[in-house]
Amino acid sequence: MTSPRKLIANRENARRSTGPRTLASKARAAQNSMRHGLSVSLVRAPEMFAEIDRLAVALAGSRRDPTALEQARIAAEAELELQRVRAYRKFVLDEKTAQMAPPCRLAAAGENGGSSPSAKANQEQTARAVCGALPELAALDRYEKRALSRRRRAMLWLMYTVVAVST
Amino acid sequence: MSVKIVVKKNKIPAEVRPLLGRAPVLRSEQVDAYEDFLALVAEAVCPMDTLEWILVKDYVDLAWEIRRLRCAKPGMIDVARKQALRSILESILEREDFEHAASRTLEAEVKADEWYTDVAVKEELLELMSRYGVDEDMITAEAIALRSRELAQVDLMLASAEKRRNEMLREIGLYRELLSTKLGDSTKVVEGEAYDIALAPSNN
Repeated sequence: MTSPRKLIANRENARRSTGPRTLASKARAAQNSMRHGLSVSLVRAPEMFAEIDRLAVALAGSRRDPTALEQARIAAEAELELQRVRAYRKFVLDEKTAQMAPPCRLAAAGENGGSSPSAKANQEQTARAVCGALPELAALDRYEKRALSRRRRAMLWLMYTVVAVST
Repeated sequence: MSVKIVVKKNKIPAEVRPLLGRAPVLRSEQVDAYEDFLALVAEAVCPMDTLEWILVKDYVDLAWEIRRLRCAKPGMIDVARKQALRSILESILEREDFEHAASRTLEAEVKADEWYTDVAVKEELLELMSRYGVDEDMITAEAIALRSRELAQVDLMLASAEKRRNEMLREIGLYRELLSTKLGDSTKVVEGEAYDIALAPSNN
């Protein structure tokens, strides 16, 4: 059990701790729990607006009605979110590969024959990276599925209206 | 005889390329192989608009990921083989077989190391293992058992990626079907107009 002296000292210290004071440190502290930012929608990233618009216009094709453009925009956002998830997956695996020790003698010797030693070493490196990053990779699946289902809904709308508009 | 597949990498229109995003290729993988694969699928599907290009790129990305996970599985087993061998040796080594260390664990570790460097030791160990009815396949089996949890997780990820890849194919198929319906209808209109024109009284 905590002694009364320690309890008082803890309370004193807590009273002295005020957390971040300046705007910059508050902004930094607000990002403390951020891991990859994949749960944040791209709509909240102003630097992505131009890219979303460009892709949305390309997806809408010749249609310029507001509903088609809105659906194309949803599909474009989801597509860019998907690209962001895949880029992050690549980053995680590349990082893991870089952290790994060089391939062991088993791979270098090409123990089972068949593939060349360098191909075997590459395979082993990828296997180690995948193995080390499994929890993160499994978590990324959730973001990918969400983006895919958003994109699918919007794209299906666009597909069906392509027919409806022209017939 | 090796057959070299020749594909045109510049099949992707310049205006579409920036919309597709980067290739999800790892540093240990070959970008050229990915680009060839993308060009090959594009050549087979012949995407007609941005929407189809995105679906094709998605199909290729997912197929690439599936290939990566499939290749990772035997790699994961291979990586665990040494640990599996050590574990088997630890259970069968007799005290009189100890050459390097007094401890069973250390002796097994040294012998497992020598398995990959010294052919004579490997032969010796294979003989010792055969006395207990253990062969090289059992090392693989032990390695699989050691990595069973990770392998099961990779299998789940594989199943999920395969499902998504198949959905992508279905989406392309559906889009094509809708477009062909559209084309069929417009053909009917054109044929109808031609029929009307043919039936119309001639001005001559």
